[in-house]
Amino acid sequence: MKYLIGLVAMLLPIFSARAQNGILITGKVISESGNAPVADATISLRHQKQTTYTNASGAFSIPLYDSNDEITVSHVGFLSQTIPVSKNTSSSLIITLQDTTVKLDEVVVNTGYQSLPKERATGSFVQIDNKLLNRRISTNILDRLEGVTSGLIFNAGNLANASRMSNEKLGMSIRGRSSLDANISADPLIVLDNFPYEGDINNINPNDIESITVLKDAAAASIWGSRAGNGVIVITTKKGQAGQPLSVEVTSNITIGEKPDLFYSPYFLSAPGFINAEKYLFDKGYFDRDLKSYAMPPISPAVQIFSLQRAGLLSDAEAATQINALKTLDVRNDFSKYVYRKSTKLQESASLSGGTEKATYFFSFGYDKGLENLVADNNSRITLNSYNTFKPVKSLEIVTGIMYTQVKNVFNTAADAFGTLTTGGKYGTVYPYASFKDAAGNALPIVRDYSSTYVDSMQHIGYLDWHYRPLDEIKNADNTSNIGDIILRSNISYRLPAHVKASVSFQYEKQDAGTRNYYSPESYMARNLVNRYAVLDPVTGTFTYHIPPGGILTKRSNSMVSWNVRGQLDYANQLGKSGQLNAIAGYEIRQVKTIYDGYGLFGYNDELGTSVSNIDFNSYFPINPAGFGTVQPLTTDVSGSTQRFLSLFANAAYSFNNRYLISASARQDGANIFGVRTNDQITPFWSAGIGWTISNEKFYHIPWLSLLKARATYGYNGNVYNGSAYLTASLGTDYTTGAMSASINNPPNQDLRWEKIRNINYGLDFSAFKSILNGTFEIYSKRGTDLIENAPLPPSTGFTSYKGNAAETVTKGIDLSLTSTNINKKLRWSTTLLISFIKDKVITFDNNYLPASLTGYNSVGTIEYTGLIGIPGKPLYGVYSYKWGGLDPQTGDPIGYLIGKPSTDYQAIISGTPVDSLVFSGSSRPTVFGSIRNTFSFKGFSISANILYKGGYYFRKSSTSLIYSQVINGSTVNADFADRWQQPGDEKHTSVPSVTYPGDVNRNNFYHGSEVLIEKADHIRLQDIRLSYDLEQMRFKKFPFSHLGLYVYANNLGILWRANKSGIDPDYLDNGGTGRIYPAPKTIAFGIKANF
Amino acid sequence: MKKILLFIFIVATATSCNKHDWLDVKSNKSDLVPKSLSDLQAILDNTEVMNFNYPELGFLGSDNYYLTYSSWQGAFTSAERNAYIWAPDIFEGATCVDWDAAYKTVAYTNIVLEGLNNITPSAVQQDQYNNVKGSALFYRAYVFYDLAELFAKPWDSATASSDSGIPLRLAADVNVASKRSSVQETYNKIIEDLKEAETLLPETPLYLTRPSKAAVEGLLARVYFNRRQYDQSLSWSEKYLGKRNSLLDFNSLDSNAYFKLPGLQPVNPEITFYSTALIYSISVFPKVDTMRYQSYQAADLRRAMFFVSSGQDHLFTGAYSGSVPLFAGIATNEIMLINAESNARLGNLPQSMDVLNKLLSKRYITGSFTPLNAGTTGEAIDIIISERRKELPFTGNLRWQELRRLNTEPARSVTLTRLLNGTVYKLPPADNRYVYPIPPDEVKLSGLQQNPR
Repeated sequence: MKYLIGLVAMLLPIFSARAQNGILITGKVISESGNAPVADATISLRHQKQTTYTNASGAFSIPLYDSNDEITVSHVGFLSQTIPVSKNTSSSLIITLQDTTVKLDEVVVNTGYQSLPKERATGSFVQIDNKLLNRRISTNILDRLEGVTSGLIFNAGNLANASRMSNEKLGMSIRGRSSLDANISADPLIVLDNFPYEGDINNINPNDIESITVLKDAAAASIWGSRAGNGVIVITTKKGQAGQPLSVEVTSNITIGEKPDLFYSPYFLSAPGFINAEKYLFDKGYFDRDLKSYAMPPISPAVQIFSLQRAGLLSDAEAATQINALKTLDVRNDFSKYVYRKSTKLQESASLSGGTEKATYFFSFGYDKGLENLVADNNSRITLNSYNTFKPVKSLEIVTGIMYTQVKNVFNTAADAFGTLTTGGKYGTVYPYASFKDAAGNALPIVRDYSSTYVDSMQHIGYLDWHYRPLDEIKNADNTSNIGDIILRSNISYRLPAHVKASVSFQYEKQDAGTRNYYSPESYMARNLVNRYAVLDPVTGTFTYHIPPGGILTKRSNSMVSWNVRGQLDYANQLGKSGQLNAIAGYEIRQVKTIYDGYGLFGYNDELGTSVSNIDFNSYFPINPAGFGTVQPLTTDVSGSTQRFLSLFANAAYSFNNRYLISASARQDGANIFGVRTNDQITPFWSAGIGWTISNEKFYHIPWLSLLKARATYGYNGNVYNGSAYLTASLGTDYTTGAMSASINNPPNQDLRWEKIRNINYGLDFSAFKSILNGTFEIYSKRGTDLIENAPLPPSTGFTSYKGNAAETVTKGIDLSLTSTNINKKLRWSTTLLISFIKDKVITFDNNYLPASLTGYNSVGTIEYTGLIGIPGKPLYGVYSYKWGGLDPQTGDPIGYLIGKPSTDYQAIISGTPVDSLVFSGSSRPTVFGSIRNTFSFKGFSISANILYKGGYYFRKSSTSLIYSQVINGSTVNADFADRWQQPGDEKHTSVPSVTYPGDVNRNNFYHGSEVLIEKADHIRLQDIRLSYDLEQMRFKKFPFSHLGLYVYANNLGILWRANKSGIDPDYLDNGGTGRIYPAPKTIAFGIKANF
Repeated sequence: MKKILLFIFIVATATSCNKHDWLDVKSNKSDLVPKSLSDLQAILDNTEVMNFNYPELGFLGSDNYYLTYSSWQGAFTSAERNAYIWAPDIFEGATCVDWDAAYKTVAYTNIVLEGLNNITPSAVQQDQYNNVKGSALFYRAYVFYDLAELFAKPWDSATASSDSGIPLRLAADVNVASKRSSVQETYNKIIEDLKEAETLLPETPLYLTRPSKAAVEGLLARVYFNRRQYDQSLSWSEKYLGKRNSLLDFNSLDSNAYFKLPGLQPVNPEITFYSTALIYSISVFPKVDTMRYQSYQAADLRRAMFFVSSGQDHLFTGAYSGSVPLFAGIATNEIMLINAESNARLGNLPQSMDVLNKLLSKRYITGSFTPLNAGTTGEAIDIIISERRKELPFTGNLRWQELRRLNTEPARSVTLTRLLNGTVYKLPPADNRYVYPIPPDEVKLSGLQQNPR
């Protein structure tokens, strides 16, 4: 830190006042290409050693004391110019600057620390401009990166899961994944303007965003040090421009989504098949215990009919009629009719912006309202954003900004959705012949948790109604979450002499998120708990309620406060004859504090806000229908965390002769989550890069290839592990004694440090055939070292695992992006092609896996939810299976291989197949992916379509359980049951083995882990089509708008081709295999955008 | 110029704060880096780890309860099913909760003992320091002993130095490899630690979940008793009974309550150290057969207080835990029975019967108890063993330990049998299956030598 102070101190002697009288030279700097004013150009007098800058309209004035001097005008992106001046010089100079290079495109990349013209960068950046960002309509800004950013992919499996993996919350990865540990975030770092953004990404209104820069390699990202290992996404907000008159923009759009297609999944086992399985099990006596159990477990309507028939209370004919009636029902119809609807999303925004030489302003307001596909789920968002700059005196600039977001989400359908509504007992999800409404329009109960006869009988003797009616539950639910997020930011910068700018930036962010779930006295949750703990005195007929009748309230709040301070010096100047140096150096302090607390109240009255507090949580009470237990307190806890970072950084880029580029960066991070020894070491993240614009060489003579630039970078960035390096314990109050007690969290590791990712990137930028074809080609390699792994410990150590920096991975890939202008006349046709190849592999990993854990159930690969499996030499997400030998024609048993010979000793196959004898298919993540986007425009009309493809990967299909009792158990209800082997000969047309009772777990696991269920996941989808019409004022006199845009946007249009024959969309895999999944419904949006 | 100075001032102020101070803040609110005596005491006051979840495998394999075929099928884990029929493989590749929980307790005590090395207590802190140290030694010895009775051969002085014992983990460092000690070393360490703990612990603990001098004496009595060193078990039980001899009068219990026996609240006066066993699905209210139920006389209150009858079934709800889990601590009733049998073994018949009758008089309806008499040592021992089964049917692994002890006496050893769905399973005396296999994950990760089954 001291050198920084020294640097500032060194600049001091430059100040030396002059007392002589001089004249004032004034002038204006304009650019040759745009004939536009150049703001912030440096004006320096050579002998007099004095410097000033042009203002927003390109004007400057500088006093001249000597009789003769030279003025040098320089600016990033322009060739510097030097002109002689004297006391006779005209007082209104016009200086025209030439652009430095043949323009690739006018791209300025923003790293969050500085903005650089892209041609002066050596690293790997992808810039998504405003137009491309606005091509897609979405409430989430990051969704708009899909299919338009090379090297970035939204991962399958995550798409299908609303609750994404805890360490891949954003569901995307940039150039693959390096971390192996489930506790390390695999998300890219999100930076909003200058600082990391810690709030919910949904808080950001996409209408406020000007552009996004994705930083992919070390030269681009290592300035973010220990948090940049997964790439960095820098989001830049809109700002007012100096000298720009007041401009107003209003946008409005509505998106309508289809009802989800609940009939999509080929896995859904519908009523006839399900009832057949129930009948088989009933005949085997599987339900006999339940039918007479004191615990009154749920008995499905079909089983109820079978049991009445067996008891002689129902004639065979009557039973058959009733069963046949059930077989005609399909719960998907009721879900579709009563629980789902078309979604509607409304997005409105308005903004004002403008500026003078002294100040600029931007102000926006946004309102979003969404009615989700689930009938009682909706959300709204209000955003306010202001960003202002002032220049009270020359050289000083002050920036202030405020962003405020208020989000409300209502989740009243969450527990009753397709896939979440359960029956319990021997069933998982609700049976497929349930109905929700009768002919008279009354909500019907489903069987849930208890048998209906029990529930009815309890109501007769005075207990609360104990039925579960899904539609009433939806009506009674009151489950909301609110997020309030405020960001205050400011930046003060001062131009020092000698081309140095000093600035201090500050950002404060506070996000308060809270959920409130009120279960009214009518809700099942409240009635169920009250009934369970109610005791009826048989003599007096009175009830003792250990949980008081009334409502239940649970509240949780999660607050996050982060603040950042950064001091930075920027240097930008011409060096030598044709060299240009841009450098920054600074320090940063950052703290993120989170506090979480939650509580719950019994006997809550929402009108009065009262609750019952004298509840006995310690005594054991009898519980209905059977057993005993204590009253479980509703969650009450407080937790929190503090993360602190202290960083020093520096970065420099030097370009000379218009051809050569050299860049370097260094950063040192300390954090309170690293080990002591780590914080004491000075091992900075660093990067270095070179660039060579070959086409600017004198010897270069390839006329058709007008631009050719080669780049290479090398360097390191990292990932932070959020655990602790110390032996830590959590303090609490002991439940038994009330004394203070501590539980130990982890064994210590003084050496714990960040993961280190070494990046090498080679890039080639080119422009050919008079800019008809432009492109970027990059080859990279990322080597992850010191990766945290969960090394297993023998249980005799008292711990099951240990976090250590020991694993290694390597990822290699190619990113190619090509844009061609195929026709450029009145009709314009352009094509953008993105192709990425990626290959990753584990180098070292200490944990050993049993075949069973490699071939486990999960269809996305075995690892998504349990942490990655590292098999040295294989990809991070490998798909492994047991070799398949077909079905035994006599028994329908699946045949596997044991030491090369066909076998049905499943236990031996599972425990005895060495990992290297498993069938390895490949990765479960795409190894090649990209998109093709064609855009046609004619006059004001424009139409574009984006086609996405993913290839070179595999998935595991789900299938029926081979154990009869599990066929009806929610986790494995699957239509393959109907295709099972039933008699010799079936093996010719099915690979689903026979289903048995009671069943063999190993046989079932072998089948689910076998090769026969692995398929190629490659597919091509038509993601979206956008049609727009733009009207410009220039073309229509008296048109009130400077610009008016109308557009229609259709999204999620569906799959065009898939490699698998099962009709499965690999982006929407069915992990549980329950058939209760659907692809994102098609949506269509209509919108308007007007500028005044 | 002033502005420049101001900027320098800001930079200097912002960076002058010490880097280490800034980064020394702990990251999790509830985290604690244990340093002080009270931190270490708090670790030992974690009852979840130090008092609950004591091993229960021995119960699963012992004979006081039975399962019907359907409830056997309904057991949650295959370990339960396998232990019930003494199958050669118990864990089927799964982890063993008994082993894991016990070694977690060991790790806690090792962390505390190593933490104490960095503390030099002041005179005021000496008692607290002693309590922490004595407690850690006691808890560690207790679970080592429980593990030894499950995973190592019974004590036999002739072979103890060559029989495989349990891994004695004495350091907190997870990088230290685990290896099996001998049975001799295992018991030497247990006894050495307990004797040291006795000198350090207070007479009366603050909570019954913390150990005391009497708790150590009771445990030493049990250890020597099961090693068949009856002179030692007699002397340690005498010491214990000199301090703790109040008994719970079963006449004072409410036979209508769901849990009729008191545990911690209200307190059972017989409990000296409170701990409970792991809850397995089949250890919740174990079922006894009618013969065992009928072995309690009509005037014996234990029948009414220990069992709840529903139809044909007699469910044991009388654990000293006062609740669902089975009691696994130290209580006066057990020590009196140890004292009685030790006396009998040493030929002190009057003393033996005296202490037994003293206990039983509190178990019968007031006025209905006829004191028992024994004519010979053998008779006395048989009476006491039969009363032991009635008094301690389901206390931790005590019955398992007793079976292992009696296996050495041909006259008192038994062959256990189970009947399930027409299949009979047998466990003859001193069978290899009286030693449980080392859990497979432990064998895999630390290469421990497996027990023959």
